[in-house]
Amino acid sequence: MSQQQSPFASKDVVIIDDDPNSLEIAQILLEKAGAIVHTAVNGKEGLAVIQKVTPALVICDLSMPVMDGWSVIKAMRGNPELKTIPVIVLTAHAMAGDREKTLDAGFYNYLTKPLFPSMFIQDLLVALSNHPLFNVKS
Amino acid sequence: MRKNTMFRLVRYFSVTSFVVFVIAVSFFASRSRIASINDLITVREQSNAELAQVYANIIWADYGEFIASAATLDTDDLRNSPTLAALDTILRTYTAGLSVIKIKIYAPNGITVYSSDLAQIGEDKSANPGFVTALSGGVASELIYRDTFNAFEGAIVDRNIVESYVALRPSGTDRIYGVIEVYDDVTPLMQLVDMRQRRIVTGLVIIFTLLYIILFFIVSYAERILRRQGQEIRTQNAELVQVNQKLHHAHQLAAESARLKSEFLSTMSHELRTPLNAVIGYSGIIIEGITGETNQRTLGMIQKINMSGQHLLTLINNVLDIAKIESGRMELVESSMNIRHVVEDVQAQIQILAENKGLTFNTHIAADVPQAVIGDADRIKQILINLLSNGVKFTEQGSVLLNIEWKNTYMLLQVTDTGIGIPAHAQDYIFEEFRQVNSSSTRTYQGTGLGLAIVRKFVEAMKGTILLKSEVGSGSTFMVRLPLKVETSERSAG
Repeated sequence: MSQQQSPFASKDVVIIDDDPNSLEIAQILLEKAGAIVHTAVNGKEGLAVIQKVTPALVICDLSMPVMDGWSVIKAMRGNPELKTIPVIVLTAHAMAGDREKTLDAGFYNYLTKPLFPSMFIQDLLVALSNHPLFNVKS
Repeated sequence: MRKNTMFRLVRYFSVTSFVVFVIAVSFFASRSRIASINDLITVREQSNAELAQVYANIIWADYGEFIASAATLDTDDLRNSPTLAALDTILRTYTAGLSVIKIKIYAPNGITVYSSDLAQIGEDKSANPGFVTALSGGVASELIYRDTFNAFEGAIVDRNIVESYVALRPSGTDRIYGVIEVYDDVTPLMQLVDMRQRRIVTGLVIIFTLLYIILFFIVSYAERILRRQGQEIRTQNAELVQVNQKLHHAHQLAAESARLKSEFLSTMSHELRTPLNAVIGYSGIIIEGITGETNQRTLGMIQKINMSGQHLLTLINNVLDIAKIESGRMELVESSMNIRHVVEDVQAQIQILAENKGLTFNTHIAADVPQAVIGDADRIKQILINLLSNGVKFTEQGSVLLNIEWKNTYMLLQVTDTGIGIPAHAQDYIFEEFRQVNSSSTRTYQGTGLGLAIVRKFVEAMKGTILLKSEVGSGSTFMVRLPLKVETSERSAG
């Protein structure tokens, strides 16, 4: 998949995660796919970045200090300009039922850590498969 | 209260059976008295009839015409008639020493022609039913009681008498000249009847009293047993309540400890995933070549780091699965599913593993396996992946086969490999956590030792069974039976 064909090419993506390693890995992989990546270490910072750049996609952890992922999605749902932006959960909480809870809360989809670099972009596209902005016909 | 009514048994018995016994004694006594009196009347009537015939035969020649025509006479004339006096003498003679205490003779028209009591002569008895019966040739008798009675010998007191009306028909003739009434004194016989009656009543009372006593003992014994059992039941109940409370407490403790364990594992799993994410992520990025070229030796090491990380992840996932199952938190997510789709997903994963080892991997699903069944597709998929990846892991050459059949009420999933097999002694514990055939094989065949334990627990949660047939050196077959309902409403759900 070359950068020109990538669905992420030149798109703003905000990644919110309190684990710097997780943040860096996702950033490297998304930048490789051509995305313009903005990072934040908690929900509050993340919301500020989202409001500033109005990204095409948000990748967000659930449990974070200061402001968690649940509050982020709640704030975004309440904002008409932000509520159409797909937010994908990336969490280490792999408990049954979490997936349903996140979808109910308004998240677009749900991915679990650890992420596998060889498959991450593909997994992300599958998670976004119904979204028109990332709908690639291959 | 139940226990109170239970112990009123003796009281109920005493009252009801006493009433019943009194009624029974009076009933039997009165029946027997009536029977005795009827017998007495029958016997005395017979003897009265015979006596009347004797008197008829004696008096008929001399007094027959007098009796037949006496009705025409004036009462006073009749009373003063010398013929009547003669008749009186003869009758008194023939009744002397007998129990007959009085005789009356009536003319055919009912007028009293003769009586030992002169005052009664001339009385009209034509309407008396006894007289009417006797005039037509029958005999009628009645038992009567008199305080005072005018007998041949004058007034007597306190008498039981059987009076019989008999036709005055001398032997050898068909003519009825009138009616004779014979009064038989049965007072002594009645005394005998009453005496016998007293004996019968006494006997009955004795019998019923004995019966009552026997029954009383049976009933009170039964009540004692009941009371003792009631006592035992109450004691046992109290003990049970105590045991129940203890069990409940123990159960709460166990549930709490299971919850804590599960919570701990969940937290641990989260905490382990975070560093693991870095291990797998960074090593993955280097392997992908995103950061540029890496020399072959370093790349090999990085790949080993990545593989170990992935192995650790599987281990964590499995431990988490087991913990969920054991804390009872695992809930089956059942919905309409097609096993063919599940197998397609599994096939892709196992195919790669098998090809890497040069093994043949084949799947076969019988045509009659329903398109749609109600089941937990993710758990069934996990069962197949665990069994099949195990099969591939322990097979060096040959094949791994998945065969699925439908047996009326259950689905049969069979995984057969041509691998090293499992010795008989190990077949019992192979489904336990962290157990492989021997500890050295853990090193030869990398694995968590949890795969089969999870399979067993999933199968049990689905109320299915798992069987193992294996021979060392020639391979193993795992047979899983899952009782699944066929989805009938959505046959097209395929």
